[in-house]
Amino acid sequence: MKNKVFLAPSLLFIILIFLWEIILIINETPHYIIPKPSLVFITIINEWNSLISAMLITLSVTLLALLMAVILGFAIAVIISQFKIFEISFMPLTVVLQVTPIIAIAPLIIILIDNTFIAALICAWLVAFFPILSNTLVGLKSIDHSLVDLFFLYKANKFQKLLFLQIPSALPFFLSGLKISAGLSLIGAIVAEFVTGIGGSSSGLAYIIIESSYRLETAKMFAALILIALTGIIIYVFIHLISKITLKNWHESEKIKEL
Amino acid sequence: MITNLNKKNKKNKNILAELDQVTKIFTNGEVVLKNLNLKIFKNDFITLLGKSGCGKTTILKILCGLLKTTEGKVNWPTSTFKNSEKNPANLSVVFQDPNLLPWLNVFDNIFLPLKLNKKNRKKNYQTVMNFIELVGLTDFKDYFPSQLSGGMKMRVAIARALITKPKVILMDEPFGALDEITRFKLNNDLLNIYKKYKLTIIFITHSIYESAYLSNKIALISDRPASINEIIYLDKDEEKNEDYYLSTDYLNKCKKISKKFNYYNEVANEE
Ligand SMILES: Nc1ncnc2c1ncn2[C@@H]1O[C@H](COP(=O)(O)OP(=O)(O)OP(=O)(O)O)[C@@H](O)[C@H]1O
Ligand SMILES: [Mg+2]
Repeated sequence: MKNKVFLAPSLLFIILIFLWEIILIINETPHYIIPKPSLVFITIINEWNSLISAMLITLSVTLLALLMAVILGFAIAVIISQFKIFEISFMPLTVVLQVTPIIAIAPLIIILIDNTFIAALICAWLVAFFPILSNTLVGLKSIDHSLVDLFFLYKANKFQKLLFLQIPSALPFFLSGLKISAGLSLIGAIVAEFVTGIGGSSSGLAYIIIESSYRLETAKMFAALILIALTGIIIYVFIHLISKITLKNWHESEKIKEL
Repeated sequence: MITNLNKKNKKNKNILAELDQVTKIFTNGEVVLKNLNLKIFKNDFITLLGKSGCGKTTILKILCGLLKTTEGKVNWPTSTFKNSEKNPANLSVVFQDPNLLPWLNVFDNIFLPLKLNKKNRKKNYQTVMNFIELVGLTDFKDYFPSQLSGGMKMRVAIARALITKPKVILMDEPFGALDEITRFKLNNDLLNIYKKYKLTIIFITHSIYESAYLSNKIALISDRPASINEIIYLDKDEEKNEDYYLSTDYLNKCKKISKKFNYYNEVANEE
């Protein structure tokens, strides 16, 4: 059973790569239109140094933005949940910012902020922030009424209720927000790099894609693309691991299903 | 309708809690309690016996302040309860559902009331362990609620209610989910605790047998809207043990209660 989970998709993946190679060879497609997987692989090895440093830049923008989103999203959700007036006043604003596509806001941010790294950070943060804020807020508010009764009977004060009841109840919601935000912050970082174009010293993977597209180095474009996907996977696995560890004993979503 | 209220000659200073002409109407218009009077005296072990849905849980929630009355008053003459919305520390409630915190293990669930009372975890380790042992869960102290059976969860809830050493315990069908053997054991444990600490226990059940075994007063609750049909006084000083459980005395007692219970139901149906 467990083997199937890994075997089936890996097999499919290998078959697809193989077909890709074969079809290109048969059609004699030039490498600057679509490169063969083997060429992409060779490019990754040859360009390893520049690719990996670009990947580190993108990864650090993404993770830093995510961290900021976690801290601010969580803190603001806690504050809002304690005072109804804040929720009423803040939420419409957050919705406006959330529904406006980041690609439309990014150029403004880049004009406003000279430092490209910080500008990218803000773009990535902007998209990662809202899922965490709104999910945590929902979690903080959806507490089991009978548990609230229990805390009432034991004379828990507001702070104890927040710390021992609301925040733990909100944890699964927060984590599902985090899963969404992790993907979005990578998108935010990439969008920012695209909009900035030439990034000077701080040039991430998206910059490599643009640069190599100008030079028709299609294989390098693919190499960068693969590393972007890899970055996404690393973040995804990391977040899922956190979620598994924190929830494994009590929440339905991560409970081990006994057969 | 026959109402046999508490005898007037009882001294008032022994009254622990009193429901005075209490009416409860929920927001959907459902009249659940109507002009209900009930006096609870110190050291009572009183069971509220009534059919499912008649309003027993509602009575209990009103008693402990979780629900407000629509009309009428709740008095706790001798406790701080009357002055504040909050319950005095000497009152514990065991709800119909165990209501455990799913992210805490058995130990920490039982420790919770002490934690909310700002008690030190290390200093109270042995106290908590004693109560875990009392409900027979020593081997399961690190288990999470999702890893426990229904009956085990209920036992955690009972230990949690006892840990604050309350003077008054309100119990809402606490043993409903348990098997006969565990139930019998816990019934006896409860009686021991009741005697040892001179508790007052308000116990909800729809089992005539359980009410006859445990309590010294049984309040028969009418169907919705709930009021007290009669309070049956039972002999307080009987030795409760396995012999008693199997005696004809006990059986006769159950019969007597059952007859009364059915009588009121028939009267209600004829109306
Ligand atoms: N929040 C509520 N809103 C409206 N009606 C309610 C509410 N809570 C309880 N009721 C109604 O009050 C009545 C009595 O409920 P209660 O829970 O007190 O019954 P019970 O005697 O404890 O029953 P059981 O033995 O099954 O637990 C029921 O008919 C129920 O529908
Ligand atoms: Mg009930």
